[in-house]
Amino acid sequence: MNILGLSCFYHDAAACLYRDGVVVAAAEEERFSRRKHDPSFPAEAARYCLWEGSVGARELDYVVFYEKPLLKFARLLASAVETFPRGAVQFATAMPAWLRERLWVPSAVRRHLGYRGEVLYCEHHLSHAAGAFLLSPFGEAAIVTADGIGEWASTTLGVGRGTRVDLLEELRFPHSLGLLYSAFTAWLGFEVNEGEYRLMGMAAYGQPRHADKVRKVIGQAPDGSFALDLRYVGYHHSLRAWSRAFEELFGPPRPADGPIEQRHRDVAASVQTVTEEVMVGLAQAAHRATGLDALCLAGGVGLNVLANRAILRRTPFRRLYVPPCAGDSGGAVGAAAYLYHTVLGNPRTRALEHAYLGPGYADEQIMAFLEERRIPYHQYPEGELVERVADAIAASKVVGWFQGRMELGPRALGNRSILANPRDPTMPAVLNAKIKHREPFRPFAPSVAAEDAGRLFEGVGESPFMLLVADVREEARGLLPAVTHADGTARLQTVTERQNPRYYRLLRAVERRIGVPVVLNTSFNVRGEPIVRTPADAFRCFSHTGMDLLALGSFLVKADAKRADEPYPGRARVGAGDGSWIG
Amino acid sequence: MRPVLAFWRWYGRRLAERQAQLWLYLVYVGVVGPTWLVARLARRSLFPHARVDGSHWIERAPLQHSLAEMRRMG
Repeated sequence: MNILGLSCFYHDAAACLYRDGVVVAAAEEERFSRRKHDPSFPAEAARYCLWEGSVGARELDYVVFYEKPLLKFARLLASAVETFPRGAVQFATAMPAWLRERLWVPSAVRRHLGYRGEVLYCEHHLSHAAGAFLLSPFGEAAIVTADGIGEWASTTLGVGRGTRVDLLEELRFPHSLGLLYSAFTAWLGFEVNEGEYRLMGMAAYGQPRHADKVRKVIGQAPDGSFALDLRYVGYHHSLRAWSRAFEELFGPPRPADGPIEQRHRDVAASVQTVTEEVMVGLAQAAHRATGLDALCLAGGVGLNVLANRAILRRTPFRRLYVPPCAGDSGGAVGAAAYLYHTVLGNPRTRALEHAYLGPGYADEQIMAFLEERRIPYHQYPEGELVERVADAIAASKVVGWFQGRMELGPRALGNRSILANPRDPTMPAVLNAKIKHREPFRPFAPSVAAEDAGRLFEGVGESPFMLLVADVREEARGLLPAVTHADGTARLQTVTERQNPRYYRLLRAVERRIGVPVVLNTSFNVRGEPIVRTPADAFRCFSHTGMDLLALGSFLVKADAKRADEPYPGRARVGAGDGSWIG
Repeated sequence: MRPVLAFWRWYGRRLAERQAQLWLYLVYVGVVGPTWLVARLARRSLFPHARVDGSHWIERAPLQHSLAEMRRMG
């Protein structure tokens, strides 16, 4: 049975082909359109999924959309009524996109894909919950979903048992932890849906001096539920996420290009502290409701690795699963899984072990690209390729590593990655200056061979999707300066030979040179660019950055092969939807 | 002719956008406004408010996991 899952029209549009309980292919539209966080209908991603599964649109059994458009539209209208007359601009801004395309999902599917059958709909948070639980390794688990906003719900508690997923309770718009976090992101001068990681990285450099002020904005009840004091926020009626009262509390917002002051770092630390408190409270409520020791977490807030760590430390949950696509792109996967298992009653087959679900390129295709562009290269058998790349990393060279199928979700997990030496303390500065152009407070993450993770890091078991944070062991901090954050933590990816054999061999080859099976792993892109998808994307990014070596499949391309005439990949505008906060 | 045509298309698009905005503002004032007034007079709020027991949770009705439910857009 072939099911196509689709998510789009807010941010991070994606498609997924689900066949007989297995994700055959899944990818975000931004990787094809080269427009970061692209919210538009995922036509290219869907066509790729169908191609990967060798199935035509007319052979699909079902197409399922990740939310209920009419329910969301009703919430939009209710918000307009409730906030009259302040919501005029937001109403006029959001409505055209709704009237033009968001209400007409079936015709968009027909127009873009030629599919003539009926389209099914799964509630937004049910899609998140199903994507987390049905692809997890747990037979039964509590479920917490938290993001900006779905239809009405912003947060849900639920339980998964076998093939069933049931949501028990919810918190509704405008009371949203995700939107509040984004409001602070915008107030700090960062781009919403992009800058939340910056806020989280900045938090390590501040003190939570303003936590009590943040608690004025969001109050949590003893049962874990929370409500926002709507006097402080503006996203429910305005294109600006905060109010005048908010500015009186926290001061004027930071301009996007303004200096970062200590008060900004302190506010970031305060918001992060309160976010962790709220997430811990939600997880405790889920534990009380279910009595289970395993938790599945999804929704955009699930990408907050510090909150995930707090849940593992401060709640009775012993096992935590966060899918690699915890945000809206995962809705496509979750909606399809919900239909196949929960509605149609088919048994679960296996857990999602890896996130390599996107397009891959055979050596023949890569060679054809290199030959066509007359790019000098050397081809090596796998063993020698891995040894040469390990030599380069040990010599503190920066390597573009393009292998196998592209990852689903926001993290590069060793197939579309830029790799560097974790033992060289100058590496973060080198990467920031030559390639990533990120703020110095943002940490770089390590990939580590899973068997050695416990020797170097504490407080984490498996973390295949880089969604858990671990303390770097005291004795290992001197060994891994390039991947140890200011607070002594690292956002860790554990790698097994089964999940990614070539990447695992590279880690072992690196170990023979620097003593630890660890590499610094950052996504293969420049600021403002989606992660690379094709060899051409990778070569373009390589040409415009200070990378020393590019490993494209079995081929190595040296820095002297770069082409200055390649278009700069970071020019693509960040897709910010229609500027409306509420959908 | 090409620049003239391009300008005309651009102008047409802008005009359509402006016109749509104008209509939407009229709908906002003419439909949303009176609805807001009725809701106010009836003391109805469309946003959730805290319950007497201090909890903000809203209990969800059990969902029928069925194709019929999934066919509904709302």
